[in-house]
Amino acid sequence: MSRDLADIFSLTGNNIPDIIDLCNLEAPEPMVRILSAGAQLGAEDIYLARLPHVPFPLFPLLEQRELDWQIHEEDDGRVLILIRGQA
Amino acid sequence: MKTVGLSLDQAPQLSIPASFFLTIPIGVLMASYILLKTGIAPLLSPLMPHAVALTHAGTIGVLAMGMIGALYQMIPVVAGSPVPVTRVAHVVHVLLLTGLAGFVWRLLGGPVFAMSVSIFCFSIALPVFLLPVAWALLRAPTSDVTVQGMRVAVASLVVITLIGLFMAMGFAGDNFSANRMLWMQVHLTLALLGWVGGLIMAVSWQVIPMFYLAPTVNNPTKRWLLMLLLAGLLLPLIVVFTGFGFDGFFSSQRLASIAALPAALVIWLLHPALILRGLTNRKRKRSDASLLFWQAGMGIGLLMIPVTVAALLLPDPRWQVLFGWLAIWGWAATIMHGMLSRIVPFLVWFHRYSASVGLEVVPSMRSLLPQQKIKTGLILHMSSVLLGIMAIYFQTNWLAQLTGLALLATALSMASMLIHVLRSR
Repeated sequence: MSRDLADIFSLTGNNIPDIIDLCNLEAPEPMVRILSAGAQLGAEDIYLARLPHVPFPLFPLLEQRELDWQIHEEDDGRVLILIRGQA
Repeated sequence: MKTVGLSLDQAPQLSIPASFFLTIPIGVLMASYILLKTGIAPLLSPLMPHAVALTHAGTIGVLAMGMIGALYQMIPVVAGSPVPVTRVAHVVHVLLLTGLAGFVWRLLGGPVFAMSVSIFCFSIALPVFLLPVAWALLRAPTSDVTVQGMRVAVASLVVITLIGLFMAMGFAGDNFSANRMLWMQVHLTLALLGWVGGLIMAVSWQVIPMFYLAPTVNNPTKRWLLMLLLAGLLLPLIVVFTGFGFDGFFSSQRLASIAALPAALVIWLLHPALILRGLTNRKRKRSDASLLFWQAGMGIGLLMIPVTVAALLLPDPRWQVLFGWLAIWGWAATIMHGMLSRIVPFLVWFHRYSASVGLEVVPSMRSLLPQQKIKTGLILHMSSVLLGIMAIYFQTNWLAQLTGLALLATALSMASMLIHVLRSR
């Protein structure tokens, strides 16, 4: 899985983070967790979480904070979101 | 890999869904007024003008207001596709309110021109709503089943509005030459099963797992449900446009009802059963008053098939009135009332506080609306459903007027809930 993640998100070296599973949280808790984590990220930090669906409303908030993000839709409809701290 | 996102100026302003939601209590008040003024008259037979007025206070004043407001908000969120020129939503809103007022006025004995105004307003409201919404739905970057369900619902709305306008001309001085019962049957099928049922089903697939952590229905099952629904909507249309039918039992009207069976089974049997099972097996059994609305609404949904069969086969018109009462106020409006109590706090929280999360302390979404307010709304809503059933059964003026009072109390409670949440700062 780590290798897959590295390929999916073009990660290198040992900077592959654990996946935080947010699928079992009621809305808007996943958004709260992601935005709170995003606010703490340092320049080289990466945050990776799994969500039950594509979090469209989150994207403008991440962009507003100038956080870089990528998503990957899994076959079962769940989504991985990777967020990088501000450079 | 990055999915096309929304920019903040593409997402709808809170004022757009909120304005539609805030007028839902006005629709309930209108229904209350009709019952208080006319007593049992609207509950005697579904064909009486007073009954048609009461029905449309519910379907347009309550259901369409909530559903159209929800669509403007949900299409960008669920489909990732912004609705263009959302400001025209306010025009749609005013046209719907004016159209409904003219429609009800005419049917309660007002002048013919009131219906002409109503037809004009609805004729303009349809394309003004449809064009931007259809554009957004058709170019959505995802074609998941929720989006497909929304497409079915919106397509049904177009057909029912056109059929409705066609029939409304009969109240505006023109003759209605076609088979009114058959057209009404198909109007009703597409309205309740396609527009209302299709949207409730599609939205439930999104919000039930999201807000209640209930297990989701798998995608192949969702696709089957959608295909059966579509079959049950298209077949009655074929009957109405071909005029296919026989003398006796298999008249066009009855064939149109039978043709709608797949859709009725999906909306009033399979979908409620799956949702109720999912809610029973949810991962975190947190008490939530809005959940009780879903359970009550879906429970009433399960009653709809036997009541529909009775309404179609038994000569007593009370079954037909009961069918309308349960479908509009018991099933659909109960679910909508519950959804409002969950979605409006979410929208307010999202629009006002989400940008500050992690940067400063923000209130939780649940703190925006006390559970007691939701429970009061549920008790009043269910009381009005039960009183309405009693009024239909006993056919007495005082029970119908008591139902009107219960609707009045429900409207006030709903308005208080919405204003409380929308005023939170």
